[in-house]
Amino acid sequence: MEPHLRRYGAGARRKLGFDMRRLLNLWRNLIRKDRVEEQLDAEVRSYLHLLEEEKISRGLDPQTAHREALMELGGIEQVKESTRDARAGRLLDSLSSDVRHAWRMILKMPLTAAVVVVSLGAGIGVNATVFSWIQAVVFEPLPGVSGSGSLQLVEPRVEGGSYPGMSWLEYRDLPESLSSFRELLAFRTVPFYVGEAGRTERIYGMLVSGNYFSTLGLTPALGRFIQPEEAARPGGEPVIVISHEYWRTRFGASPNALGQSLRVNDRPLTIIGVTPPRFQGTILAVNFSFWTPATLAPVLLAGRPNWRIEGSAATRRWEGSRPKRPA
Amino acid sequence: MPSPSVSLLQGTLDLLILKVLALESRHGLGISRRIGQITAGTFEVKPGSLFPALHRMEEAGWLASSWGESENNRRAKYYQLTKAGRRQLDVEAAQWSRISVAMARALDAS
Repeated sequence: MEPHLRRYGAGARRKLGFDMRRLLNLWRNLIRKDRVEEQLDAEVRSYLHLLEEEKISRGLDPQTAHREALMELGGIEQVKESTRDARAGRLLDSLSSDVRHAWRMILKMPLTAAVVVVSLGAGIGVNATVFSWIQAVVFEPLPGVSGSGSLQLVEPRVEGGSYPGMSWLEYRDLPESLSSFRELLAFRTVPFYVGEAGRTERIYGMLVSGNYFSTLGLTPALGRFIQPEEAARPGGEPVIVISHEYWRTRFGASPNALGQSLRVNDRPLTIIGVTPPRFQGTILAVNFSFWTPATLAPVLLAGRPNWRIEGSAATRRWEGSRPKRPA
Repeated sequence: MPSPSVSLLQGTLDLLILKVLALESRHGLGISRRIGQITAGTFEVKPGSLFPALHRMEEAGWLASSWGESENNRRAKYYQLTKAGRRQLDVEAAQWSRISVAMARALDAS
């Protein structure tokens, strides 16, 4: 056991010694550069003098000896340069001198440099914008909804080319004609007037079908979402789901928000849940703060003739086999 | 000094330097002259290749250097072999004799 251990230690020490030496070389060559240079110069010059003396002792006069010695040496600077090449850290050293050179060049023509920097910056900026736009619109159109790229929007279009939206009854009939789609959720954008009389603010929300959150595959950050039966009876269930952002800014992300009453369009609604952090609704690039059952429309939008959902519908295609619908 | 120009093989110079310094420490010119002597003038080492080799070998830990006085009382940098240098000399000498035997055999083959 003992000899084996000792050998192991010796090997490791030798290896360590080697690496330490490399580091020390690097340190000396880069940090104590002046001293290293001085030493090299002295060494090459001393070689030259010795060469001269050798020639003088062979009978040459000092001048000829000096000339011949220089010739034999092959140039003091050349010898020094090729010696520098052999040293550790040569790469780093030349890199730093390249950087210094580049910096001097930039200082010499600041205007050109500024133009280059600005145009590079603009180019990179435009690219970043385009790619984040593509990311947002093509791959993840609805933040927080996984696979939202596969969602399809269903909108009736009139001959004139505009999209008038559909009625709640039309929405209820749609699944019959769209049997290749899994679920059909409905939503309508409405401005909500939130707060006590005289202190209301207008915040956008959505009237949604009972399957809205389950079809999008969301999990509440707090509480629960609107259940199908809560959006089945006209005028039913005065409940509201608030966005994560609204919860954070108005309730300080407190769990006590659940069960509290929010006065919306003069109606008290009970907060039942909070959406996950990144979710902002189902209309591209628009931020919504509230979701209530679509069947609350007659109550919330009271005073408007003929309550209609007047909204959009969205759905997702079935993946794999789909359950048989009763004929 | 007549110099039949024979270009040094990679690694040959290192071996020659190690060999020359095995007996005593020398300065640059001394190494160069001694190599000329022991190879009967076949190899003439120019400072342009001698100095890079010396510095590289010193960084590798095979040589150590110190300033001293030359025969004519001039300051000169003297190189001597370290322990690692001696080990390296053994390794390279063994390798060299294998190569030279192999080469001689190859050239003799008919």
